[in-house]
Amino acid sequence: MRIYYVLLLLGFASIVHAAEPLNFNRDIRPILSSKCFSCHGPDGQDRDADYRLDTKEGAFADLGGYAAIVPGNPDESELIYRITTDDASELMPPPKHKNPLTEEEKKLLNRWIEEGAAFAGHWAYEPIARPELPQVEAGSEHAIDHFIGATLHKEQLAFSPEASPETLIRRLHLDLTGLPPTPEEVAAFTADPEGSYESTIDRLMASPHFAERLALEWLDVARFADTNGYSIDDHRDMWAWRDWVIHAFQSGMPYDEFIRLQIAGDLLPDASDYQRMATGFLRNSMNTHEGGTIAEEYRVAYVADKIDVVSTAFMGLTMKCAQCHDHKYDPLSMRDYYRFFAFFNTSTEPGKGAVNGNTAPFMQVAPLLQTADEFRQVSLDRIATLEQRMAYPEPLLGDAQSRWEADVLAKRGAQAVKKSVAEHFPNPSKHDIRDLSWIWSDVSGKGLQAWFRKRFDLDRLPTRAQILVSCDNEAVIYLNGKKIGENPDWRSPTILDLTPHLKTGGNQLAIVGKDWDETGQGQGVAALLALIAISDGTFIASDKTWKVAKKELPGWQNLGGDPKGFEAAQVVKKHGSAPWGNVLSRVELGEPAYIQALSKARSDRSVEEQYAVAAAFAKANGDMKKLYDSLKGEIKVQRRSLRSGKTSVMVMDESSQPRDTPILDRGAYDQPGEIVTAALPEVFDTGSSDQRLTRLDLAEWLVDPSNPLTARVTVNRYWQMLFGTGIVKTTEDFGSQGEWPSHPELLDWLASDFIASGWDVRHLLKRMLLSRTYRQSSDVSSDLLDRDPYNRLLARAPRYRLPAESVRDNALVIAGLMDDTLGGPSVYPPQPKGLWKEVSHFGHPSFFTSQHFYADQGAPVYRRSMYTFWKRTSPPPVMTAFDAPNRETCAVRRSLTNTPLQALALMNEPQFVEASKALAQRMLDHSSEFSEQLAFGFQLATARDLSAEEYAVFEKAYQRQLAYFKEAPDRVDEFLAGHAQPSAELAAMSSLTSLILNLDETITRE
Amino acid sequence: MTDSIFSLNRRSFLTTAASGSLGGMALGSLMAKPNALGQPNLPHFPAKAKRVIYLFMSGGPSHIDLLDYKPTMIERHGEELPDSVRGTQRVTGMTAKQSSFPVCGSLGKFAQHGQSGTWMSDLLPYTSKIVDDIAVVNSMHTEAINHDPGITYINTGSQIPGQPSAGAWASYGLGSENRNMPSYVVLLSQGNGKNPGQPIFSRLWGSGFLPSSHQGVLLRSADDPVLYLKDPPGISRQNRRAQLDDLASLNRLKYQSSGDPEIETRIAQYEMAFRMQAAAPEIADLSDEPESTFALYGEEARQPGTYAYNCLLSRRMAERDVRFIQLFHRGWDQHGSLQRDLSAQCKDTDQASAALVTDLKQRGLLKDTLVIWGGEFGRTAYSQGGLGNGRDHHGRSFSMWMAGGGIKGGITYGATDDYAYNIAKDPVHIRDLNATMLHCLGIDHERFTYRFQGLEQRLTGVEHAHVVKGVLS
Repeated sequence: MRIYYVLLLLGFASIVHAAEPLNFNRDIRPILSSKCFSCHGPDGQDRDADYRLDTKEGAFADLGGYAAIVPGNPDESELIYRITTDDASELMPPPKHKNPLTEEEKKLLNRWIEEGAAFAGHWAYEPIARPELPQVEAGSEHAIDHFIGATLHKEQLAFSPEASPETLIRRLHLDLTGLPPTPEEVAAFTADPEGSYESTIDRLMASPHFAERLALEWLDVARFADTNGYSIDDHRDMWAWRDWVIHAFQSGMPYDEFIRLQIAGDLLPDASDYQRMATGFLRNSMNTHEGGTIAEEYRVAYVADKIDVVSTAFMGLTMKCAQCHDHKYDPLSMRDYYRFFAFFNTSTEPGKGAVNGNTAPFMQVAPLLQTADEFRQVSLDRIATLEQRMAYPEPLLGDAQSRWEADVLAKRGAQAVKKSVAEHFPNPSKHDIRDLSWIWSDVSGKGLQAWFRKRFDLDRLPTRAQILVSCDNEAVIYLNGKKIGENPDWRSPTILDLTPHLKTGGNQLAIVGKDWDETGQGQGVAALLALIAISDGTFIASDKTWKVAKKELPGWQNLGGDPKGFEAAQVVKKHGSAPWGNVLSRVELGEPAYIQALSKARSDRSVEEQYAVAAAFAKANGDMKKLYDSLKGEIKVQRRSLRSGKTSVMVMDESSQPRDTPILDRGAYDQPGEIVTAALPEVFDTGSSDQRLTRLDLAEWLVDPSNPLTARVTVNRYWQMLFGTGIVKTTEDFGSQGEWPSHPELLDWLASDFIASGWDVRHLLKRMLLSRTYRQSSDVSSDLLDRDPYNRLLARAPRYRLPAESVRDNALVIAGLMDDTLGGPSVYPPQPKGLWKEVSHFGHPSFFTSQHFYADQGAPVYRRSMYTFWKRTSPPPVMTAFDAPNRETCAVRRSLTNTPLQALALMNEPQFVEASKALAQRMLDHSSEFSEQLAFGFQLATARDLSAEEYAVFEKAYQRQLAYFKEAPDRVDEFLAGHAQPSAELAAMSSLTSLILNLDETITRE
Repeated sequence: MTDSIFSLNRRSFLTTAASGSLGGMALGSLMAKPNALGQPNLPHFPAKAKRVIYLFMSGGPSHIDLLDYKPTMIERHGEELPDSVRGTQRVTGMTAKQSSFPVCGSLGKFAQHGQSGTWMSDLLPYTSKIVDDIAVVNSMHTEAINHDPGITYINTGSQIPGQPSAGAWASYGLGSENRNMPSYVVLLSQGNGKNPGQPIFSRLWGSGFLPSSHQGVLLRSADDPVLYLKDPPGISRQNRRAQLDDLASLNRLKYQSSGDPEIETRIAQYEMAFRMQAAAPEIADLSDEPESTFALYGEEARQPGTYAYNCLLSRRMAERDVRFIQLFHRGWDQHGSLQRDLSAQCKDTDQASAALVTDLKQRGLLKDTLVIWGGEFGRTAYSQGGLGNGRDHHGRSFSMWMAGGGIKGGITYGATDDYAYNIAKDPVHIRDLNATMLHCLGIDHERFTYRFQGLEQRLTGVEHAHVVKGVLS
C-alpha cells in the first residue's frame, strides 16, 4: 500500500525543483507555520523561549552569542542543530507534540539557510502587485493564458485542445446560470462557435439566472437560511435579503458596493431601505430562544459569528482562532480580535431571539422581485396548501378522520335533527367552554359598573358570527366602536349577530356591565358571561384574558391598544356555578357547525366548514390536535404578510447607548477584561485615528484598493466557481496555514485588474471565460493524470459534478418541469415524511413555526432549488446528499463526494422519477421515431449527439424494458400510477430517461 | 485488508494502476472520498473496539436518580442545599431566580448489584443486572448548561456548530468494514417521558468540515429505512440490476473518451447503492429473530421506531460491522413531573439497553464493540419548582456508563460530593470521554487531525483532553 500514499502526498505538495532557488513563502513558511509557529509564532501569550520565527527580527535575533539562523551557514545555525539532534530533550519540535518534521522538510530548511535564508512577509499581506504578463508562445492572447501557459511551458506541458462546441455551450450555461442550454441554444452556438462565443457570454450574463447563479454561490458564504438554527429552530424571514442579493447581481452592482452595503448599508448618510436591508448579511447568524439561555453568552456568539463570516468571506482569515488566545499562525492577537469585535458590538440585537420569526432590529419591506399581486398570490397559494392539509390530513394520519366522521354521523343519526345552525346559537363542546366564566372587575363581583374589552383577530371574514351575553344585571354591547345591542336581564341571555360589523384583522368587542344595586353595598354579586361563536368552529369565551376597567375611559370601545386603567378581568365563578347555573341551557342551541358540514362530501365543504370540521376532529384526536395547532399557526403567520403586503428582514443598527467591548478572557462572555475600541488588526493598521471607527469605516477599509486581501479573496472564489479549485486552494484561509497559490502572479494580476475594472464581476468572469485556459477540453490522458492528478496546472479544463442545486435544477429543466420564477418566499418541494417532525418540537403545547414539513403543491414544487425552504437542523435531504453545507456557519468551499446515497436519490427520489417520466413524455411528443426521440432526450441532457455505441446500449435497453412492461401490464399501472395515459411505451421510455438522468455526464460539468 | 466498503474500487484501482492507465488521481479521488478506506496511518495502535454503539440519552438524564448514589441527599431531603456546595457557578435562566434550592433526594431506591457491588437505582432494574459488564462514570462534566450547546458539545466537541460529529470522525478515520452499509448510521426515537423532547439537529451527526459523505445516515422506521432506498413501484430487482448494467456500460463509454477516473468511482457507488438496497431492509427485517430476542429486548422491540427496536437494529448492524451506530432517544429533560416522566424514560430504555449489552456478549461481539450510554449533562441536586417536582440542567457533574471493547466492566469510576453536585474525584470532561472512545478504536486523539481553517482540527478540540485510563481494561 505504501507506494500509493507516497503518490498521494506528492499530489498535494508543491513540487520543488532542484534547480530553482527556494521561495520562502512557498517552500519554507508552510513548514515553519505548521511545525514551529504554535510555540514560536505570533501568539505572544504562549511563546516558548521568547523566540519567534514568524518575523524577520525574531527569526534572526541574536540569542546571546548565537543565532537560530545564520544565513549561508547551516552548521552555525541553532535551528538546524535543534531539528536534527539525537538528544530528545533538545529536539524540535518536542517529540511530545507528536508533530515531527519529515526528512524532506529538514533538508529544505537546511537548503534554505544554505541559500542565504531569504525571508519575506506573508504573501497575502503584501500589497497586490500588477505583474507583467509572462512571455509565451503564440496562441495565448488572453492574460490568464500567459500565466497558465508559462507554468505549463516550464513543466513541459501544453494546453489541451479546445473543447467541442457542444461541451462549451453546455459548460457556459451551467457555469453562468446553473441550468443547461436548450437544443435551440446549442444549435445556434454550434453553427458559429468562434463568432458567437462572446455574445453568448453576454447573453447569459444578462439573464436573471446568471444573477441567481452568483447569488447561490453567495448564500453558502452568507449562511443564508429560513430558520433560526439553534434549539427549536423556528422560522425567520430572510428571503427578502436573498432577493436583494439576486437583485444586486442582476443590476451589476460593483462588488465593492456589494460589500459596503452588506457590512454597513445602514450607516450610509440617509440610508435607503434598499441599502439598509443589505445588512441582513450580518444578521444571517443563527440565534436561540432556548429556555434557560443566558442571553449575553449568545449575544457574544452572534457577534463572533459575524466576525467569522466577515473575516472568512472578505479577508480569507481565520480570525476566530484569536477569540480565546492570540492566533498561533497569523499575526492576529486577542486584542486585535476584540477590537474587530467592537465594530459589530454596537447593535441592539439581543441575545435571546424572538419566537416564530425575526428578532429585532428588523424592517418591513415590500418584495424586490415580485409585484404586490404576485406576492399576495404566493401567500394565498401557500395558505390554500396548508388549508388543504387541514381538510385532508390523510397523508399524515391515515384514515383516522374518515372513521371519526362516520362515528359522529352515526351518533347523530340516533337523534332527530331539531334545529338549524343558522337560526340558533351553535352548540359548543365541553372543550370550547372549558374556560367560560363569569367575570368582573374584582373577584367578589363588587362594583357598580365594569367596562370590558376583548380583542380578537380574524384571518378571514366568517359567514356568520354570534355572541351570547348574559349579565347580572344588565349590559350594553359594542363591536368595533358601534353599539350592537343590550342584555337587559341575565336570566334571558341575549344572542346578537356580529357578522355585519366584523372585519379582517383586529376586532374590538366592548361591553359595559351594570349592577342594579345602586349603593354598591348590597349582598348581590355582579358578573358578565359572554361567548362568541364563529362559523369556522371557533369559540371565544369570557375568561381572565378579557380586560376590564373600573371606570369609563375615553375611546374604550374602540380598536387600539388598551387604554391605561384596563387590567385582566377577574373570574367570579366558572360557568355552571350557582347562583346562575347553566346559562346555555336557557337558549336554543343549534347543532355544532361541523356536524352539518359532515353530512356533505368533503370536496363540497367550504373552506370555513373544513375549518369547523378540522377543529372538531382535533378535539377528538390527539394527533390531529397537534397537526391542527401547527397548521393554524402556520396559516396565521402567512396571513400576517398577506395583510401587510410586506415581509420582514433582520438588519443591523447602532444602539443609542454604545456598549463597551472588553477583551474576553479565553473568549468567555462572563470574563471581561480590558476595554478596547474598534480598530483594524494591527498588522493592517495604517495609522492611528482619534475618531471612533464604525462598521462603515471597516467596510471602506475592506474595499480600499490598497487592501491586500479583499480583491484576492474574491477573485479566488470566482476562480473556484469556474475552475473547481481556487488558485489558493484553501479558499477560506489565506493565512500562514493556507495553501500556497498555484499561480501567485495570476492571482495578483486578476485582483488588480478586478479593482481597476471598478470591481466589475462580469468583467472578471469574462476575463476567465474568454481565456484559452477555460475553453480547453476536460478530457485527460493517463499521462497527464499522472503528472497533475489534481489539475492544479490546468493543462486541461476541470471536470466536476454539478453543485447540489444544479443536479436537481438540471433534471427539472431537461424534463421540461422547471418553474423559473424569480425570488419570493421560499418554497416546499416534497420530501420524505417525518424528517422535520422526528427531530423537532412538533406537538409541544406552545406553537412553533417550521416544526412540521408541509409540502407545496403545483408550480412551487418545480422552482429552482435555491428557493427551497432551508431548515438548518434538517436541511433538504437531496441537497445535503450532494454536499450542500448546512448553512449554520459560513462555508466558502463545498466538499465534492461521490456516494451511494447520491445514486439512490437520482434513481429513486420521487421528483427525479417524475422528471424521468416527464422527459419520456416530452420525447414521445417530439417524434414518432425512436431514434429521434432518443436523440432529442439525450441532447437535452448532454447538449450533444449520442454515439452509435451509446445508441446501441439504449436501444437494447429500451427493447428489454418494453418487453418487461408488456409482459405484466400491472407493472405499467404501478409504475405510472396517476398518469393520464399509462402505456408500456411510456414506461419503457421512462426507464431510458432515468438512465439519461443518471449518466455521469448529465450531472457533470465537463 | 478486510472486506471494505470500497473494496470494489480498490480492486479496480489496483488493477488499473498496475496496468498504468490510472495514476495518482484515482488514488486521490478515492482518498478524498468519504467512507473510503479510512486514513492510511490509522489505527495508531491495535484497537480494542472495532465499532461503537452510542446510546445517546438526549435531554440530560438525572444522574442522581439513576446512577450516582447519595445517601446524604435522602437524609437531607427538603433541606436547603448548602451554599458551600452550590457555590457561585452559573445556573440556567430557569432556576437562577429561584429563592430556595431544596435538596431533592433520589426518587429511585439504590442497592448494590452484581459481583462488583455497583450501586444502582431501582429505576434501572435491567441495567442493574449487567453492572459487572459496565463501567459507571460518575464524574462526567461539561461547561454547557442548556440543551443545544450541551448536546452539540458532547457530540461534536464544540458548543458552537461547525465541527464534525464523533461518528463522522470515526467514519473518516477508520472507514467502513461493510461493503453494503454506510459507516455511520443514526437511529432516532422519542421517549414517553417528555413528548416532544427537546429538539435534536442533523449537525449532531453531521460531517462539519469533513467530506460530507461522513455524515451519519438515518436508518428510519418509515417505508424507506434509508432515504430513497426503494425502487419506484413496478420495478423489480432484476430489472433494476439490468438498468444498472446499462448505466455502467454508458458510463464506461464516457470514461473511455474522457479518462476521468471519477466515473469509475461513480459506477462503484451505484453498485454499492444496489447492495445497500438489499442490506438495509435485511437489517430491518426481524423475521429471522427468535422469540427469545423479544423476551430479552422486550415486546416493544417488534415495533419500529421504539428505542427497543433501535437497540435490536444496532445489534444487527454490529453483526454486520457497521462502524459507528448512534441512537438518539429524546425526552430526558425532567424539569417537572420528575417521578412520572423519569420512570417513563427508564421504562423506554432500561430493558433494551441492558439487553443490547447482554446480547452482544452472548454473541461474542461485546469484546470488540464499545457501548456508551449517557446524555449531554445531568440534573440538579435541588428541586426546580416545588420539592420533588423536577430538576434543572446540571453540567458540573453527571454520569454515563460504558461497556465492551477496551472497557473494564464492574467498576465505578470517579466520584462527586455528597450532593452529586461537584466532582470530588477523577473528573472526566466530555472531551476526555471522546479521547477515550477514540483510544478504544485505536486512535490517539492528539494525532488524529484534519486541517481546516488553518488548524489541525480534532474531535477533542484545542484544550487538554486525556484518555481515562481508569476505565480501560
